[in-house]
Amino acid sequence: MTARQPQAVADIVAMGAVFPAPNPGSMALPPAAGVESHAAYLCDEPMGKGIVPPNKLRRLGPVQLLALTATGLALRNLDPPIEFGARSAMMVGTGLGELGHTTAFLDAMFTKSPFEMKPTHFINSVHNSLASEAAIVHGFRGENYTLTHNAISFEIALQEGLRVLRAGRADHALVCGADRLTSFGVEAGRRLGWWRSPGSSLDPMQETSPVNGTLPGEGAAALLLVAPGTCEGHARVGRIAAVAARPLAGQDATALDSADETDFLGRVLASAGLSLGDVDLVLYGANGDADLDAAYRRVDDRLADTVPNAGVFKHECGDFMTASALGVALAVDAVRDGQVPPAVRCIRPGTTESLVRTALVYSLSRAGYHSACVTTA
Amino acid sequence: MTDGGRIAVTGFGMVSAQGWSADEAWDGIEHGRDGLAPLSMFRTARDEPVPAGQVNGDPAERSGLDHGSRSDHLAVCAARQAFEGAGLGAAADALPRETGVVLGACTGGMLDSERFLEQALLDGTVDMELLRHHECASTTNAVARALSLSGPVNTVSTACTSGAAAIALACDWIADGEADVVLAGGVDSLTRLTVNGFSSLLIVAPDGCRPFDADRKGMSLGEGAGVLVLEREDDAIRRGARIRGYVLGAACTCDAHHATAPSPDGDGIQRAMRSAMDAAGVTPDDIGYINAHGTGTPDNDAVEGKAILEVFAGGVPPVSSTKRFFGHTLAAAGAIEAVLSLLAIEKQRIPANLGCVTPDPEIGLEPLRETRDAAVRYVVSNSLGFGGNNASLVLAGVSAEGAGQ
Repeated sequence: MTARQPQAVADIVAMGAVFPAPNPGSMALPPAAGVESHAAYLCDEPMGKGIVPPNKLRRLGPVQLLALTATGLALRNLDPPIEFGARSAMMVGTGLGELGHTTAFLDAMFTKSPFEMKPTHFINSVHNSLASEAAIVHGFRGENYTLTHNAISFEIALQEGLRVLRAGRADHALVCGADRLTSFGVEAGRRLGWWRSPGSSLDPMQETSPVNGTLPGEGAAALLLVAPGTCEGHARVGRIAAVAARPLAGQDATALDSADETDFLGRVLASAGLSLGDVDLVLYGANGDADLDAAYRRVDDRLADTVPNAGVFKHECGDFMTASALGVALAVDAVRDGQVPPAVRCIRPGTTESLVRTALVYSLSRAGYHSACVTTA
Repeated sequence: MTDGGRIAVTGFGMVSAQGWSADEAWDGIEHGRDGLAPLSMFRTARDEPVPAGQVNGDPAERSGLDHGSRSDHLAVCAARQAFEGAGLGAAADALPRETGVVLGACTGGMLDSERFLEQALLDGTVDMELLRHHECASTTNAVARALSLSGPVNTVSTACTSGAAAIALACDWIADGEADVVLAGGVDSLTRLTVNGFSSLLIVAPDGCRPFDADRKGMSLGEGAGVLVLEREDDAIRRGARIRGYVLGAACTCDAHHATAPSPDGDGIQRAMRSAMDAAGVTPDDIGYINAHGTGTPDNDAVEGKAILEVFAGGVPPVSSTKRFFGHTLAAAGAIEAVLSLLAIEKQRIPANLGCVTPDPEIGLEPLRETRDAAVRYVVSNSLGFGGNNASLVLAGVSAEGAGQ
C-alpha cells in the first residue's frame, strides 16, 4: 500500500449484522463423506422472517436471504426513512456466492432429468444475485458491484463503497459481506484439512491445547455509508477511517514478519492521519488455527504496549471468507458505545477501562491475504 | 480523467472463438465469420449440441501455466498479450510498483468443479485437485502471479457486465491513485452450468443468436477473455508506451427491477449511457458507433434498442452487436467488446451485426448489416446483465484525441 493512497472516510448511519447461534451446531455432510456431520457455526433458521418480504422467503437461496436479512436489519429503523434510488450504490462482498443453489442445479443435472434442473437455482447461482435482490427490495438503482476475492471480499467491497462516495457518484453506499455454509463446502474443507476435530468450539489466541485448523461458520453484516458530514438528520453510528486489503504475494501467512505487519498497520492508520497510539481496541481475525494464531500473537506482542485493548471475535461466528464483516460490525459497536463489546473475547489479562474511540480490525488468511479496517467514533 | 491526463489504453489482448488474438478476432469480423459451431467440449442436457462460441485449441497449452482452470489459462493468455503489447513484459524490474489486476468473472473454475461433483455423485470418486481453482478470484490471482504483479487485486462478478465493470473499477483505481497501471478485463469459459442453465430458461437460440432480428429466438453462449492495460496518459507518454486509445468514460447502474429481466423502460442502461458520455465529456452527437450488448434475446434487444433510441433521439449512430462472431462470453463480453471498439476506431471500420436478416420493426433500430468504413471518433459499448446490472463505456482513439494533447 503506497503512502499516496487517499483517505478512505465515510460515516456509518446504519448497520445490521447476523451472527450464528451462540454455540457451534452440526452441519450434515453429503453421503459420500463417510462422516455424518461436522461442527459448524450456523445461523438460526428460519432466516429473514419479518425482515425479508414474504414472497421472497421461499424462492431465494440461503445466502440471498442472509444478505437481505443483514441489509434489512440495517435499514429498517432509519429515522427519518431514506428514499433510495439512482444515487444509492450497493457493494456486496461474498467469497462463494450462492453455492448451495449452484450445487443443487448441478446435482439435478447429473443425477436427475433435464426437466428437474430448476431455473430458479441457476438464476440464483450468479454471485451478484445477492446484490441484485438487495437492490430490488431496497430500491438501490445506482452502482451495484459484487466483489468476490476470497478472504478480502468484504474489504474490497468496502473500498469500492468508499470510493463511489468520494467520487460523488452516490449519496449512499450499502456495503454488505455475506457467506453461508453448504454441506458441499464443509465437506470440501474437511478433506482439505481446514477444520479441526468435530465437537470443538473456538478459543482464538487462547487455546489451551493448540491445534491447526478452525471451524466453519457463516454470517453477514451490512453498513450504510454516506460521505462525511452528510448524515442529514441521522445519527452517526461510527466512521470508516481507513481500509486496506492485499494478497501476501506468495508469503506464508503463518510465517509473516511481525515487524512488516506492524508497519502495514501503521501505514493503514497513517492514511487516516492516525497512528497505532490512537488505537484503543484491536480486533484480530484469529480463527483458532495454532500456526495462524501464533502469527497474530507475534503482532500483538508488538502492539501490546501501545494498544490498550485486544480481542478476537471468531469464537462467535467461526471462519468464513467474509467473517471480517462481523469483525468490523463489532468494531463499530465498540466505537459507538465507547467500550469493548461483550461479544469480543479479550486476549490480554484484565480489560482496561479506557474509552474506545478508535478500533482496528486486522485479518490474516492462510489463503494468502491480509487486511485492516479502522473505525472511529 | 485524472490529474495525469486521460486513462490511456496501452495494450490489449483477447482469446475467443475467432482465435488467439485481437487481430484474429478482427480478421473474423472482416470476413463475416460465424463464431458459432456445435459445442464439442462436453455433452449437454439437449439431444443435439447447441451452437456456441467455443475456443478452438487448448488454452492450457498456450498460457505457460503449470496448472489452472480453463478460465485461468484463457485469462493469462489474454493478459500476456496485453502486457507485452503495453511494453511491460520485457522490463519486469521497471514495472510500476503499483500494477494491479481487476478481472470480471462469473464461472471461475466451474468447469473443473462440475467434474468434481459429477464424479463424486455418480461413482463416489473424490478428486480434490479439481476444486483447487474453483473461485473466480483464482483467475485474477493466476494473472497476477504469471506477470509478477504485486499491486491491488479485485474480482468483480456482476454477470454479463463483469468485464465492463472491471474496466470501470480500474479507471477509478487509477484516478484515485490506488494503482499506477491496471490490467482490467473479463474471462469466462463455457461450462455445463451455464449452457444448461440458460437452456433451462428457454432463452438459448437453437440456430444461433440473431441480435435485433425480428425472428430472434435467444442467445448463444461463448467463451473467451479480454484484457486491457490501463494507465494515466502522462505516465504512458513518459515511458514511451504506444497509446492504443482511451477509456474516456464509464458508468454502471442497476435496474433494481427483476432478477433476470431488464427494466422494460430501459431506465438503467439509459442512465449508464448518459452518465458514461457525461464523464467522457461527449454528447450523443459525438458518438460514431454503438457496440450494443445485443444478445439476441427478445427482452434484451427490445429494451436496449428502446434505450438507444431514447438517448440518441437526435440521431442514432451506426449500431451493431458482435455477439454472433463470438457467442455471449458472459464476463468476458464487456472487455472483448471494449477491445473491438478500440480497433474499430483505430481501423475506422465498424463491425457488422452478424445474424440479423430482418431488423425487428418493433425495436426500430437498423443494425449494421455489413462491416464498413466509418469516420469514428468515439464509441459507446454497452453491457447488460442478470440482476439488472448495466454498464456503459465510452472509448476513444488516438486519432481523435491526439496522444498527449
